[in-house]
Amino acid sequence: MITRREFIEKSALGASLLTLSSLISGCIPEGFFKNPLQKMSKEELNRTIQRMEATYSRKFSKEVTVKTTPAQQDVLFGMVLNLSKCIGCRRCVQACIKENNQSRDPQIAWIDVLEMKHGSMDLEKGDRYYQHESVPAEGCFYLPIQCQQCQDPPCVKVCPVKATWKEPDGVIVIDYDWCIGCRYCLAACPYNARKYNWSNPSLPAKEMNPQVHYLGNRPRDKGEVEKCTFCIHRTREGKYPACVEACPTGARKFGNLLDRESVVRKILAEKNIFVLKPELNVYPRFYYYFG
Amino acid sequence: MVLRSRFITVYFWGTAVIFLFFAAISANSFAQSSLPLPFQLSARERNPEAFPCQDCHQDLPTKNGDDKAGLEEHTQVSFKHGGLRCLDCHDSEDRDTLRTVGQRRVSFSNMEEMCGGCHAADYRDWKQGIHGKLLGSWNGAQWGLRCMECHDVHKPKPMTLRPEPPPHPRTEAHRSQ
Repeated sequence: MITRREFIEKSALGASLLTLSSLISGCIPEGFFKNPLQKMSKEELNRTIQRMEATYSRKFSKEVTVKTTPAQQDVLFGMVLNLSKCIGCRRCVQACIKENNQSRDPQIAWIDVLEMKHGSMDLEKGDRYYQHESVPAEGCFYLPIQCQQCQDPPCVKVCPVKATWKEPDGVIVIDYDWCIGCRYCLAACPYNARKYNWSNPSLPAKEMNPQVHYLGNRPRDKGEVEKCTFCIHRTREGKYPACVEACPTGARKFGNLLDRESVVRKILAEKNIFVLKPELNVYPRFYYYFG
Repeated sequence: MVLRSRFITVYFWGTAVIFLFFAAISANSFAQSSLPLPFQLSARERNPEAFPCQDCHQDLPTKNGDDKAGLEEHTQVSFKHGGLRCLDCHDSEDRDTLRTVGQRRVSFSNMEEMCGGCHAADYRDWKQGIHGKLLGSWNGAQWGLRCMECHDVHKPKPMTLRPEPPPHPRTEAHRSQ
């Protein structure tokens, strides 16, 4: 007859032997004990990137490159949106989905376009599900909302594992592998900008964008939070984000807020710009104006 | 006698100073308008295969104010642009050029100088890259678009499009309820 103490001792011994042998034999994948990005050494980062590129290339049957381009010096990104020019066509939403490898089923969209009635800025009354034959509809204006890249981000403060942080160029990024999926940041975000993978994301191989960034548009997994990163894989190379390029009316403007000659600085100097929910003091870097 | 000449001197110099002051202020805005554009424009010359307008119009009589005949001939043009008439923009003597409000000839490649005569706010914004679309890179070469590359100058109307589908409430991952 086996006593309780003996049983516990034997099972503890068995479990530790099993773990040790799996570690030695390599049954546990190498990435299981990976460091968060900010703590990785150069060698570990290189090994991680190689592993990732191999995994993604195999999964999507195409050559995938994972970049880790750092922030440029003296750059602080800002976006300005002219609400008089936005017609609510949702081309930005679709361009973002394609560029950033968002799940198609269940469908994730980092940009929400709210249809608002003229005369009210009450975001609770905005309609995300509008459907018309042609836009803009009579008496309405359209308010696209995505991650506002706040200067004092509440989502960063509440993360219990520091999986999300503000980069030097102002973009709030997520280390997807370090995220535990608690969704505290979803609750903290005042703009509903963060999206969660409730189930396994599905991304058809032929629609996958193979140019990805570690902190940006690389394919995510179930249980990971994702959001707009100002197309970090494009903007750090000098290109415009996909939403800015897709907008047919030129309502979106993007640039470096530290460059006095940039278009965004000129708009901030001349136009009557505002931010959403200014009373929360999060200081978004996403500015709106009617002009 | 002395008092009178001193008064004239003061009066003259005072006016000169005030004049120079205002000239200095307005010189700043003159300088502004000749700043180079922060973006490039694609070279656009009249398509050489297209029929040069003067080939017909140098022989046709100019009937100012008679738009009906012009629109009957030019059936591809549908016209609705405020209270404008054809010859308000097209030069009456040289149909291969346009004419500003100040009776200055501009080519079709610089038509924004003419459009800006009425649409001054948009022109001022366009010159800074605020109005309209910019292509290229945010920290490098950028391309702007001319007026007629986005707008139908004869019948400008706000852009309407069929919107992309909304997020499906059942299949979307993030639901607010």
